[in-house]
Amino acid sequence: MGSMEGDALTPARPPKPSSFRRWWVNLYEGVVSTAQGMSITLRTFFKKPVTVQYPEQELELDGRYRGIHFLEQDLCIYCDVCAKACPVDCIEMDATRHGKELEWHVFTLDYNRCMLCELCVYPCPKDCIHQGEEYALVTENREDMVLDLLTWKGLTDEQKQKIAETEAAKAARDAEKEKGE
Amino acid sequence: MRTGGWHGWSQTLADAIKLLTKEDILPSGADPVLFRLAPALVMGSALAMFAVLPFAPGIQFADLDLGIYFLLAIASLTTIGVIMAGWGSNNKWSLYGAMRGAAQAASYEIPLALSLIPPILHFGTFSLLNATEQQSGWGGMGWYVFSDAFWVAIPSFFLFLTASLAENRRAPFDLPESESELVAGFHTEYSGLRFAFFFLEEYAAMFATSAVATAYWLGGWNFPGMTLLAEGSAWLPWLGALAFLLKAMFLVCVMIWVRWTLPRLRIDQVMTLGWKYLTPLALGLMVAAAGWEAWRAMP
Amino acid sequence: MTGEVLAFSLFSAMAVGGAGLALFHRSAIHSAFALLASFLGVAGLYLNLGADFLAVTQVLLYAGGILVLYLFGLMLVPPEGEAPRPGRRALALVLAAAPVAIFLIAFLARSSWGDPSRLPEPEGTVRGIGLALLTPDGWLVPFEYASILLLAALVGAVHLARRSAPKDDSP
Repeated sequence: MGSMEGDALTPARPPKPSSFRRWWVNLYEGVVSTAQGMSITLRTFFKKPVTVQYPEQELELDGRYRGIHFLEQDLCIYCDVCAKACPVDCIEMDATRHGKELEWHVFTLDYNRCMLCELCVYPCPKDCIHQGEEYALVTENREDMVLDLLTWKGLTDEQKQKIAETEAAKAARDAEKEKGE
Repeated sequence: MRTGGWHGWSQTLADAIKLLTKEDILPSGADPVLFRLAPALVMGSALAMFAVLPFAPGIQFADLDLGIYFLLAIASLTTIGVIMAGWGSNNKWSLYGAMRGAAQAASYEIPLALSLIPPILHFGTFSLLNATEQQSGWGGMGWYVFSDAFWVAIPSFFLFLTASLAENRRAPFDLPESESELVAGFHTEYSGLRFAFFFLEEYAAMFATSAVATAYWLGGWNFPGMTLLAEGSAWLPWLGALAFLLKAMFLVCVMIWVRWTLPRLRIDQVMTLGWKYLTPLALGLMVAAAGWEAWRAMP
Repeated sequence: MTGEVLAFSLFSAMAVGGAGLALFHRSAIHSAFALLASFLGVAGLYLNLGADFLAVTQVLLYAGGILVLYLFGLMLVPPEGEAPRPGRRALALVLAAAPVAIFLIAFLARSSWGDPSRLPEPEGTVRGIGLALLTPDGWLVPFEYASILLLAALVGAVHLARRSAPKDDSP
C-alpha cells in the first residue's frame, strides 16, 4: 500500500481504511451481533408466551373497544341521524309512528360494509346506539353479516295498551267535543 | 397447545395425512419428467445420508471407510434436485429460487468441506464410527471440542454449522425459498406429497448435518458416565443412541433458533460471506489444524 | 457373481444411456440432467471395481460440482438454441467416434479376461491413495506438479475475471 499517500505520479486520495483491517472488523461485528441477537431470542424463549388461546381464552377488552353495536330500542326515536352520519351507509331503519309510540319494522346494520368507526354513536340525540365488546363477526355467508339490532318488532303489549289508551282518550275527547256542539 | 392432544402432538400426524391425501398437481407447461423426478432425487439423497450416521455402538447402517466423504457427495446431489425442480416447474419464481440455490450450494460446499478437515486430520479417518470411537476418553468426555486442539475445533465447529445452514437452505440463507419475494422459490408449484418431500428433505438434511457435527465435534454417542456401565452392557447402545439423538437434536434446535434470530441475507451478502469470510477462515483453520497435528505427531 | 453382472449392466446402461441422451437430446437442460445419470452410472462402475474413493469423488466433483455449474450456466442462455444441422453433425460424430471405436475393439479383442471370482475382496482405497500421493517414494512430485498447474490456472482465471487490473497499486 505504498502509493496510498500519493506521490508525484499518483494524486493524493482520501485515506480509506485498509480493507484487511475492515475485514477483521466486519468479522468481529458479525460474530458479536449474531451472538447478541441469539441471546435476545434465547431470553425471549424462556419468557411466558403472551399468546392467547383464543376460543378458550379471550383478551380483556378496554371499555372503549368498538365492537358490534347494540341498540336501546325503547329510547330510540327513529330520527335517522345515525344512518345519515354513517359514511358507508350501512344502517337501515324503518318504523311506523302511532302518535308517540313507534312500531318497529327494521333496524339493521350491514357489517359487510361497517368499518366500526363509531361515527353513528356520536350524533345520537338519545344516546341509544352503542358499540359493545363483541368482535366475533364470523359467518358462513354474506347475508348473515347483516345484523338485526331490534330486540322486538312491531308493537309490544304495553305499546298497544298505550295506543289504545290514547285512542280511547282521543275518542272521549271527540265525543265531548261533539256533545259540546 | 389447543387442538390435537397434549401440546398438539397429533398435529404432525394430521399434517402428514393431509399432505398425503392432497391433490398432486402437474402444472401445465411444466416438464413432466423433471418435475416428477426432482422430489424423488432430493428425498433419496437426503435419506442416503442417514446410511453412514453412527447412532450408537452397533447401530449404524453402513460403516463406510469413506463415511463423511460419501455424505458430502450425496448432500451435493440435493442441489441438482433443487435445480431440476426449479427448471421443471416452468415458473419464474421457481427458476430464480433454483438459480440462487445453485449459486449458494456451489459456494458453500467449499467452506463446508474445508471446515471438516480439522477433525478429519485430528482423527485421521473419514469414518464417522472410527472418529466417534476415538472420542471415548476421559470417561466419555474426550470430545474433539475438549481435546488439546480445541482452539481449532471450536471455530471449525461454528464454521461447519454456518456452512451447513447455507447448504441446507435454512434461514438466514433461505434465498432459494424466500417466501416474501419468490412465493416458495423452487417448490412453488409443488403440492401434496411432492411438496412434503422437499420439506422433509430440509429437515432430514438438517438432522444429518447436525449428526455429522455431533459425531466429529461433540463426541458422537459418548456421554459422561458411560464408563460406569459394565463392559458390553446392553444399556450402552440405548443410552448411546439417546445421547447421540439429544446432541443432534440440540444442534437442530440451534438451527431453528438461528432462524428466529437472523433476517434473510441478500444474495450478494450470501456470496460475500461464503467466499470472502468463510472460505478464507476455513482455509486458515485447515492450515492451523495441519500444523498442530503435524507438530503433535513429531517424535 | 450374478449381483456383479446385474450391477454392471445397470450402471453401464445408466452411463451409456445417459451419455447418449446427453448427446442427442435437443434441449440443453435435458442433456445436462442426462449427464447426471451418466456420471452416477460411471460412479457405480467405479464402485463395482472396488474403487470407492474414485466413485465418491466422481459424484462429489462431477455431479455435485461441475454439473451444478453447467446447469447454472445453461439457465443464463436462451432456452431454444440454434438447431443443429443434421448432416454435418452425423459426419462429425462418425469422424470423432470411429478412431475410439476401432481402438476399443482392438483392445477388447487382445485383452485376456481373468476369473472375476478370484478377485480379492474390495477394501477401502483412501489410505492407499493418500500414501501413494503424499509420500516421497510415491507420486508426490507429479502430484505437486499437478497442484501447481491448477494453481496457475486458478490465478489466471482470477486475473481474467477481474473487471480491471489495478494499475497503481500492483506491487
